[in-house]
Amino acid sequence: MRQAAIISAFGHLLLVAVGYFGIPALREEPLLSERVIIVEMVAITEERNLPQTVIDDTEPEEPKTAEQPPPPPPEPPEPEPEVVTLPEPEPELAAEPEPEPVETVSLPKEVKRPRGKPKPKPKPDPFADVLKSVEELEKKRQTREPDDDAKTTPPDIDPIEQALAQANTPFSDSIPLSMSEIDNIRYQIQRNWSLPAGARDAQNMVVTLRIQLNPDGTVTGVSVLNESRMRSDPFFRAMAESTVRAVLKTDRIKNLSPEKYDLWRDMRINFDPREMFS
Amino acid sequence: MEPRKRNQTRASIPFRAVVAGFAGIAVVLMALAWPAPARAITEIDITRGNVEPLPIAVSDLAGRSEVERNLGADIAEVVAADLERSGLFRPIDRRAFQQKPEDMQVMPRFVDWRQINAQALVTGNLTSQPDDQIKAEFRLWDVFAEKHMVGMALSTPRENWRRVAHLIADAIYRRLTGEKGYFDTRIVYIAETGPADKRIKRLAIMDQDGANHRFLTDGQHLVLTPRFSPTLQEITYLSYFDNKPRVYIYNIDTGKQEVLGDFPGMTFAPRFSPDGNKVIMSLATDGNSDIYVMDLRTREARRLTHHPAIETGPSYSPDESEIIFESDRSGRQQIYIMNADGGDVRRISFGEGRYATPVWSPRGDWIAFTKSLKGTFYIGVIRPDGSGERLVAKGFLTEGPTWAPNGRVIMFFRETRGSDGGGRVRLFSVDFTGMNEREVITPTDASDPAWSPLIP
Repeated sequence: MRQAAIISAFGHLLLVAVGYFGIPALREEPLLSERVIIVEMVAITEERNLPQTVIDDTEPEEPKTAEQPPPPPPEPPEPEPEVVTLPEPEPELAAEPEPEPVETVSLPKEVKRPRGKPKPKPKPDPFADVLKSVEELEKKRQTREPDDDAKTTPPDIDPIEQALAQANTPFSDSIPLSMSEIDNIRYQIQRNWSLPAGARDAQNMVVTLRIQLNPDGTVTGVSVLNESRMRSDPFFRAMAESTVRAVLKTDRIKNLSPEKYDLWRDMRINFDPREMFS
Repeated sequence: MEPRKRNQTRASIPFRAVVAGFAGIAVVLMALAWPAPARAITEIDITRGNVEPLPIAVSDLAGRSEVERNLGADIAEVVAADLERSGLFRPIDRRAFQQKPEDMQVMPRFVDWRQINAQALVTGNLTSQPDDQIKAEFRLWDVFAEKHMVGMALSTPRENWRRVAHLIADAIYRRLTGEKGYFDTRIVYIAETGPADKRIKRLAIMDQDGANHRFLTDGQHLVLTPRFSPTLQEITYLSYFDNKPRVYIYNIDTGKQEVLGDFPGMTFAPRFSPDGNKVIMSLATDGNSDIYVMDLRTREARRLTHHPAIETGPSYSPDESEIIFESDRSGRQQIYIMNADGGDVRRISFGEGRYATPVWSPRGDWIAFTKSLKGTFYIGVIRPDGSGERLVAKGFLTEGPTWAPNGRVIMFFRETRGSDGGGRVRLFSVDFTGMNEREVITPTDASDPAWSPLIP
């Protein structure tokens, strides 16, 4: 009886142990060479699908960054020092302080005729980000340093992805341009885009360009898709022309993968300054 | 029965066939219309750009004689200076230019200009005409698009050459920003000289860039708060003529001045309505100030506010439907808005400190004001609905904002304390975004600037 109980207890323990640790592999076949597959749910275009060639020399980083140090914000009024310096109208100074001519501000039309009660709640100023106030200028002056991110950050390519891509990601030209490739194009054009500072209603001015490229990346054609508005709206025209200039100034988009020429020979570029004003 | 049935069958067969036919066609059409292996066109969004001044090359106007060339160079210099002062453009040093003005009569060599990074290029020429007239032509080019953007020819007496330059700068500004220019304008202000206890204040006028300065009054009587008519070359201001503070109107072209209405009390803080037909101001009687409007054609005055508090500093909205003003009815000076007939008064400023001298921008979207808080003065802007308040300039004493006619730039005056106690009062301009503050050079101390409309 006791023996039976012991056997039973042992049996149960064994059962629990097996349940917990599993049955030891009896036929210890060497497993297929292990490979970790990272599965990430992303939209197809967000997947990196870079041919190795592109990855390596991503950005011959244009020297521009160096020659354009974070522009000091324009002098905020400093009344205290009664140093009576003249307004320093020397052109150099003015040139670089990026008086951000400001992104203009264009005000939502409705504001124009406020009629009626003042809105109960002043909504957050959509331009607060771009427009400066005295305090901000001062604050910025102290803290601003490294430069504006987005503008100068090259498309980020992190080492892991790079390794993965080099290792064994199959490259397929049937997949749309990858994030990095799009970043690459975006970055090259964006750094040449100078908004007409001060355009009104800039938040309503999304300009769509169609651009055509040669296999070597040279821009062969640029056209504004919403052209009719160019004729009727001088602000929009100024904005649209600035985008065309950005593309023309870019002249040749570098680091494109030739295998995907079909994907970038003809593209639409949406210039949308809204984010800059919100 | 039978025939009918047959009929039915007969009818139903073609119907089915038709349906089948249509279906077949539809399938074929769909197959044709379906975008081939569906390759979406690549779309890229660009949401950030630079807000740097636009590099622009302003070439001298070409001329055939030495005199023409000199004047052409002078005009180009004024154009470049105007553009530069706006903060939106960066004129490129002309020493970098590779093409001479004379070589660009037909079409510039754009490669040369791209090389020095010019995004826009101004070319032109100047010819002398009979009767000491000059004719200036200019063209604005988009260097990267290799496109002509705007061109203009202006004829004028030679001594008017600065105006020609301002008009050219306005045309360029307008074409490249979409916004009206403001270079062909003037400033009136109060020129101050002498020690603090014996200050002489004279009405003075100059071009927006400081040129053509002259005094309009001789300083015998104290003058204050000049304001430009938005339509005419007229100024309204407060003068202590015969020690009676009254609102006057002064015509710049004729030099004629007249008192505006004979009120029992003191009138002050005058300002024109946007159509130039009315003057709105404060009238103080028995220690109480209220706002009145006077129609300049009928000389009839109408009272708009009825409140025991002090109401002053009125300014019309560009469409004249509303008026902003300051009032201390809440205990502290704040900005209020009311309908043009004086009804529906609402307060729009709720910040700390005191708010004064509200001025509605000609563009209508912002109101400039003076704010004093803890011993410091600020110039700020706020939307007519009370939102978006931002302070754009500050100082020991900053006051008297006035708008450029395009509603982009604010001019004001600032007093700085000297170490010996004597202050220095000067005019400054700043973009309403708070960028690009500059001193406006005046020969003497200066206060209370008023910006003219574009000169007709």
